[in-house]
Amino acid sequence: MSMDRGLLAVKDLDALIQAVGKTAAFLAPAAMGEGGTPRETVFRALSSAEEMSLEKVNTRLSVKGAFFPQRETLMSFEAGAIVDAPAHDRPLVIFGVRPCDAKSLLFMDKVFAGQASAPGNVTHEDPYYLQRRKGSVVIALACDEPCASCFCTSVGGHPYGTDGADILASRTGALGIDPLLLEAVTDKGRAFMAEHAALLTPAGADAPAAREARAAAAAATMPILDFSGVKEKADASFESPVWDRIARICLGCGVCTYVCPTCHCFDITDETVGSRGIRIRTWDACQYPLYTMHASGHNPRPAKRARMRQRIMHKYSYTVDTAGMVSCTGCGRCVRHCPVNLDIRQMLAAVKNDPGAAQ
Amino acid sequence: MRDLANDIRMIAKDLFDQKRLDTLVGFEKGSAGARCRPVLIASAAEARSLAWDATCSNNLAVYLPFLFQRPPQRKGAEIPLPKVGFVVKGCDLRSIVALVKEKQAPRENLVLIGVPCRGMVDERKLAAAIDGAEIASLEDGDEKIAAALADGRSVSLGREEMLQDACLTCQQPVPEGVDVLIEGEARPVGDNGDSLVKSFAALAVSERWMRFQQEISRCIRCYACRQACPTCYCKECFAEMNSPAWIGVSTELTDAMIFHLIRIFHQAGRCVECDACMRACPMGIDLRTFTKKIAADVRELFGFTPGFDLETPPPLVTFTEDDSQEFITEPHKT
Repeated sequence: MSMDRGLLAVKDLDALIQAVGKTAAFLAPAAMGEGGTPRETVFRALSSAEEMSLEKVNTRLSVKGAFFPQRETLMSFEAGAIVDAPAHDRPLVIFGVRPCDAKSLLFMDKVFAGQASAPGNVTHEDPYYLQRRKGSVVIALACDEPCASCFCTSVGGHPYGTDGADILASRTGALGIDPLLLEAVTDKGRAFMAEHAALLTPAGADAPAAREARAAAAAATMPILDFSGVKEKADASFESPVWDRIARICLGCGVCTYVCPTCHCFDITDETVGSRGIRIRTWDACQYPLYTMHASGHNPRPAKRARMRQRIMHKYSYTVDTAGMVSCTGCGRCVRHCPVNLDIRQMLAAVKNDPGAAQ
Repeated sequence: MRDLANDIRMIAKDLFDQKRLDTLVGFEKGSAGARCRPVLIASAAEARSLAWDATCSNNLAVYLPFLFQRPPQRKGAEIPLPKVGFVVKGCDLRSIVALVKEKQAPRENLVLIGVPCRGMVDERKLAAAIDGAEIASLEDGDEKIAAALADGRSVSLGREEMLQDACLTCQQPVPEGVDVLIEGEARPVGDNGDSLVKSFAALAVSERWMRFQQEISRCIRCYACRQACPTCYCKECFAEMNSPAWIGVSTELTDAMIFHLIRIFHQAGRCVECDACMRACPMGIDLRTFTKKIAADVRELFGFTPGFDLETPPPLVTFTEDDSQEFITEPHKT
C-alpha cells in the first residue's frame, strides 16, 4: 500500500524519529554541537524530536555532507594488503531539507551516481556516495520565509519545489505547533509514508489548494533576477577584465565552496605510519590559490580573477553543457557567509552587463 | 554625529587627483543585511562609492601582501611598487605596521587615512537581538542603532550591546602615525579583554584543553581563519605541505587542533586581536580566547603588543639578554 498525502502532528514527530531509528539513521537540522552560535544549525543524526532545530535560516552546511562527507576513509592498507573501508549500511532518512538543497542532490547524483546528461559523457558511479544515497529518503521542508539572500526562483527552483525530494513537508499553520502536511513525490516517498501511516492522519480535500496558496506567497517574497543570457555572455567573456573587478576582494577562504550544496571537488591523501595507513577523501575548493598548483610549480589559475571565473562558469556554464542544468540552486549560503560579502547575484549581473566583452 | 563617509570620499578623490595613489582599499555598501564590504578602487571617480558605518569590521590589512606581491624583478628594469592607500581603523593600522616591519610593503608606498573608531557591530549579536529577522537598513547613532527590518518593523538597539567583543575592549581606537587623520569621535580606551584571558588562564590545564577541543571539534578545515588574517600570508601554508606532511588535511580532531595551535602560535607578536579569524569562521568557533591568550603571553614574556610604532622590532625576531629563560629553567611552570 502506498500513501500520497497525510498530516503529521508535532507531538508525533518524536514517535516517527523513534520508529525510523529502528532501522535507519534520522538526520535533521540541529544545533552545531557544544558551543557555536545559537540558531546556526547543521544536519545531524538525531534520536529525539527535541534535538531538532528548524530555524528560519537554512543550515550552515548543506545536506551534501550526508552523502559526501567532509572526511571519508576510502580504504586502509598494511604491508601491501588493502582493506576497503567498512560499508555504510544504515539507510538515511533526512528530514527538513529545503527545496534548494533537495534540488542540489539531483546535480550531485549526476556527478557521483552515474547520471551525466550530455551524450557521450563519461559517467561515474562513486561507490562511497552511492552506498549512502541508495535507500535514502529525502523529506524536504518547504520554505515559507525565504531570506533576502535566497534566490532559488531565479535559477529554476521554488521554495515549495519537489526536485530531489521523496516527500515534501509543508506547514499548515505555525511551525512547531500546527501539523505538517506530508505529500509523497516519489515511489520511495509513498512507501515511506505507508510504512509510517499509523502516525499520519488524513489531510483535508482542500490541503493541496492551501499548499499552493502558501507556495505562491513564499515565492512572491523573492524578486526574480534575470540571468538569461549569462552563460552565452560568460562564454564570450573569458578574457574580459570584468573577472578582475568582481574578484578583487575575494580572500580565497573557501567558505563559499564548503557551504555550497553543489560544490564537490575533493582531495585524496594517504596518511601513513610506516607501511600502515589509510586513504582518505576530503573536501577541496577551487578558490584556494594552491588548488591548481602543478608539481612543476606552474599554476594555470594563479590569479583570483581566474579562480572566481572558474567558480561562476562552472556553475552557470560548464554544468549546463555536461549535466544539463545550472548547478547553483540559489540557496544563498555563499552570500550569507562570505566574510567580505561577495554576492554571486551581483557578480552575475556584472558579467551580464559587462560592456567590454571578449578582447 | 559626523558623516565620516563624506570626509573619506573627499580625501580619496583628492589623493587620486594628486596622483598619489594607484589603488585605495576602503569600504563600500555591500549587499547582505545592510553591511559594508571591502572595496579596492583605482580612480577619483570610484571614490564616490566609498562608505563608512558601523559595519566596517573587516581588517583591510589583509589585502596588503596581495597588492605588493610580484615576481622577482630583473635588475635595472624593476617595475616600481604600487602606491596604495588604506582607510584604517586602529586594528587595520596595527596589522599594517606589523606587515611593514616584515617587509611586505615599504611605508613610503602607503598612504594611510586614519578613522577614529567608535566600535563596529557584531553580525551575530545583531542577529540574536532581532531574532534572526532580516535587516533592510541600519542607521548608526550616538547611543542607538536604528534597524529597519525587511518585514517593515523598526527596531532601536543599544549600540554598545551590538558591538564586537574586540571593539568593546579596544585599547587603540584612534589610529596614530597616519598620513591623514579624519576628524571624528572615538570610543573610550578599553582594557583589551584582560578578564577573558585571565579567566581562561585560571582554568586547570586539562580544562583549557577540553575547551580547546570542544571548540575545534567544529572545524571543517576551510582555512577561512587563515585567509582572513592579515598576518597569515605564506605562499605555501605548513598545513598544505605534503612533503613532508606536517599534519593531515582532514577534520580529524588531532589534525584540526594542531592546525589551529600552530597557526595561532605563528601569530605570536603579530596578532592584533582584531577577531577577523573568528568573524570569517563559518562554524562559529571561539578563536578569540586562544588568539588573545597567545597575545597575552607575548605581552607577559616580552612586554610587547603590536602597535603603531614602526621602530620597535617584533619580539620573536630579536633577542635581548633579559628575555625570559623560563622555558629552560622552569619547563613545568604552567
